[in-house]
Amino acid sequence: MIPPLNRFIVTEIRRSIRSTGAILAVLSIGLVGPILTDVLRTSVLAFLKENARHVLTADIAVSAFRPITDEELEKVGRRFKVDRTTREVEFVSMVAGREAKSLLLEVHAVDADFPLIGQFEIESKMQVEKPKLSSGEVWLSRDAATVLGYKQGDELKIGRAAFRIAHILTGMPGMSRTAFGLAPRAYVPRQGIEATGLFGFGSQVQHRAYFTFNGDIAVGEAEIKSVLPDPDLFVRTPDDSTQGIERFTQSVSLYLALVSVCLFAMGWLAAFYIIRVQAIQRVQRAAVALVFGASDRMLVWLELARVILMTLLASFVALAFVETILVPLEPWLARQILTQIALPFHLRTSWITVGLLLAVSLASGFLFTLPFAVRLRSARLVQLFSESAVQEDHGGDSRASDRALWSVLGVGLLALLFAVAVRLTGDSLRGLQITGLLAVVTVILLVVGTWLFRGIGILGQRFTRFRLLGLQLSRSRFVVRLSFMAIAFSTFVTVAIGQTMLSLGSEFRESVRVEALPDFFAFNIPEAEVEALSAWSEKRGLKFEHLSPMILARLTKKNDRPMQGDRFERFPVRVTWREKFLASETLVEGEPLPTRFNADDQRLPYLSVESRFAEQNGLHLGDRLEFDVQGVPMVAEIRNFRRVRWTDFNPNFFISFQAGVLEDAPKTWLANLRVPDRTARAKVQAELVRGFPDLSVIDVGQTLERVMGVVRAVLGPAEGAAMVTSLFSLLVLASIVGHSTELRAREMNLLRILGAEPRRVRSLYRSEFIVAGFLGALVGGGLGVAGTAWLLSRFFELSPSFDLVRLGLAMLIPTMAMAAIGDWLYFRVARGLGFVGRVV
Amino acid sequence: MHVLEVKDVSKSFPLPSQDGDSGANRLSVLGGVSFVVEHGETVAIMGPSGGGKSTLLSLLSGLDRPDQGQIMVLDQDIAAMNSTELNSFRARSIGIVFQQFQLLEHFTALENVRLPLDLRGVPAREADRIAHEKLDRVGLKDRSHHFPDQMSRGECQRVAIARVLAMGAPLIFADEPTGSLDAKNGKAVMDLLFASAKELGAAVVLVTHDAELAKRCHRTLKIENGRLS
Repeated sequence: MIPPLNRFIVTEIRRSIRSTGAILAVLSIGLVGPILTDVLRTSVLAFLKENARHVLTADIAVSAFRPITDEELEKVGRRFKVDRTTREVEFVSMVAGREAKSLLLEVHAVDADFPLIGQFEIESKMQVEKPKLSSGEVWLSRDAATVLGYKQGDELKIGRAAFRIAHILTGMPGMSRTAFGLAPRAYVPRQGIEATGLFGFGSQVQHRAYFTFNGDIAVGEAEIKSVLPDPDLFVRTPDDSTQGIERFTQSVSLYLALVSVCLFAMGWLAAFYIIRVQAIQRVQRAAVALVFGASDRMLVWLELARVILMTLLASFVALAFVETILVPLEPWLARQILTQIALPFHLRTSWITVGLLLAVSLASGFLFTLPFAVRLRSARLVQLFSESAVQEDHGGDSRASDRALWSVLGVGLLALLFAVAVRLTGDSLRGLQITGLLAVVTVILLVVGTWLFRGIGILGQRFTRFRLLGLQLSRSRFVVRLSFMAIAFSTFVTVAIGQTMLSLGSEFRESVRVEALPDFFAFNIPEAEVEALSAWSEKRGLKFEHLSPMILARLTKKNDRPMQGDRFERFPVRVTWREKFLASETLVEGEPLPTRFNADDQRLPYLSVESRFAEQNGLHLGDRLEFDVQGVPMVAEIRNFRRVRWTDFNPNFFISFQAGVLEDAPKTWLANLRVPDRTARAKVQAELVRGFPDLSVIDVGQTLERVMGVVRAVLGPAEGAAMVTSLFSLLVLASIVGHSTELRAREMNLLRILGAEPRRVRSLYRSEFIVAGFLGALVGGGLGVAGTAWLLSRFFELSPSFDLVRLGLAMLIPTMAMAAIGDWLYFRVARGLGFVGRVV
Repeated sequence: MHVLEVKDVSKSFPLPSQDGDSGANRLSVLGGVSFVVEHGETVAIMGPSGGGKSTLLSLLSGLDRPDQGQIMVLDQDIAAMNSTELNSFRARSIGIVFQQFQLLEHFTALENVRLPLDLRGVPAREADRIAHEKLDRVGLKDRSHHFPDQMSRGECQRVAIARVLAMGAPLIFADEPTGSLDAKNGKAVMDLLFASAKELGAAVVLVTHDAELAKRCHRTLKIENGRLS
């Protein structure tokens, strides 16, 4: 660019340093969210992609709920050259600790050459590639040792077998698969693991074989599948092994993307508003320049260069800010990752992010320049002789061009939001959904806002005292409308997330308190021990209830057609039989099942199916489902759908048969156990674990605490992000309001000249913002409440329990903030502008 | 009782010193101005630019305060009133017509005319009735629900006059009321202003450079270098 133009731009920026600062601030903050989300997402996904083999601990694995035979492994070995092979058996079990402590443990019984890829880290910080586990030794994770009160050298009993704690582990290979990391891990030798007695039929035990080999993993996967066609065997690749955490990352990213795109949109709109206000003033100066020889094109190019310089600077500031805050954040993130995968984690910024930022800056620059270009085009130089060159509009042409301008800007902004959303979610459909959602919410709020403000205007006409306020509000001024929308949106996000979290929390907390929830949930109860367990419970005055059989079956066909999706091919379904519903079950459609199957009255046995399972799998009343129950085919007809309250922790099942059908099938049992004397819980648990080592018991309270920990871990930052959105929306409003002083000054002076007291003007301004804020909070809060109710019923089947104080605060705080903004605007206008000069 | 009596009014402004701060030196804009205006009288104030016309008008309408002297409107010294008293007094007694109309763009013609009545707390029905009547009086009955940007400049000035009429003030100040209008519209607007003021018995004090317009007033005051000549 030629030097005089450089000088011009720099001078322009310097002369409007406060506005420029505000533009940079709102744009930068708006960009921080998307950059942060993108860096986090791409870093985690790249980490998973690069370390997928470490997550699996092999190149490929085969898993099953039954032992994998040597013959099956030999088949694999014969088909292609396997470098190394190792085996693992994984199951969960309650173990007893010191002083009546007990804990659910994820037990990994491994061979000496486990893991094929990866390593252990023991308490002395020593890296160990292979666990030299001798018979009777266990390596226990530090979490478990802390809870159980054990140290190296102590004895740990798993099931019926005793192990000496050889090492305390601080790092483990791979990642937890069975309990999503809820239970700490222990490693024992695979040889002799049967001695634990935890391998009864139907026990939740996973058997795995791991392989490393030279060659293409996809080819290997296909070959293993061809030599091991048994549907009980499931082939896992490194990519499969990271799918869970990838899905989790994508879910978190989706939420963060939504919040980030909102932040970006708000920042962008705020910057646009300030630039538009600048444009109105700058066009008057530009018109003078036109008279003295400047060309339209030159002035527009200069404006474009100035604006692009600002957008680029904002992108740079945002990027630098993110990099700066991520530096101290990296060790914390690495620790979070380390709890799942013991590998070093580093954050990285992708060049695609930088490229997208550049593109967004350039595109924004063009869009931001449009109001200036359009106004310059309509500048009437002849008016310079009398007053402003930017004549007030008198006619339909300017309105049409205004509509066209807003349409172009709206489409442009949506395109930018779409691009950002696609990048942040890595999915164009998701990007479209986010953009569409924002557009729809904006339109809804615009319509609702229009009607509300119009209503207030009409209502205000009836009351002399509120007439002016009604008029001010009903005239759809940009600042008031934006205030309404920003407050509505931020309150919606805050209320929806906050109340969802509270409802979930209170649901769990209440469940723990109410007597409906059991103390322990026992599973893997061998048929032979049911009577003994029942007698033991009775002797100790415990309640042993909802004893339910569990049968593993494979759902093969629906109405004589194979089930859709490989889920049913890969995994068995757990079914039961019941004579009547539990208290946690409600009939929603169809008829109750006759108590027992009667071959004389019925053609087929009847089934009761959980309603959401039915919905997800396209099941209807009257459908015939075919099962493979341990090799025996079984056909049954769906008679009803029922809703299940899973949070009651009863033995709940997706599919329940009539009695008199499955009694002869191999099965284990599940039951609830209540301890009326709550002070005796720990003692009972320890006795239970010691007396019945071959069944698994979950301490419901402890498990809920862990689940709540996960919920808090996810929703805590989500709520934080929602609050950031709220704060940012207020900041954006403040910056916009701060730049509306020029437009307000004349109005304020006129009101005073016509006899309004300063106090009255201040009250009018404050009321205008309070009402806009309150209505926004009310609409946003209402939407948030409705959203919470929908979310909870749709995904958690819970009724919301709203915290009215918190709800009130979520609406009161933005309203008060708006009052402060209104006052601030008044003082800013009153202080900055002389009373006389503006009007006379 | 005079509607307006100006007694020995002076006004000066501080001059910035060399270092940019307000210094002790002051620029005298008005010096010892005195005159009276009677009820129903029309007075033109003329003079060269920088002569003190606008300063005088802002003092007379209570938008600024003199350094010394008295400005008696309906026998009350507005220079001695506090801000609250002055606001209240101005809302009832002083109407102003501006060169640039000073209408609120987001209010319709009716709402702009009604504004001073709303601020004064006149009951809604009564305020509507008066505003409609005044709009009818200035010939804009059919434009009452139009916004300023939907009207011509002449129409906007007529709305501004209707607003002043709605106030019912006995004293009207007008600052270059035809300055933004062409000759035809200017004449029409002034015809309206004079006729309406006559009906109300209101006095009109207008600042103008237009000698023809000044001739239509009962008297012309010439102001030069801050003094009446």
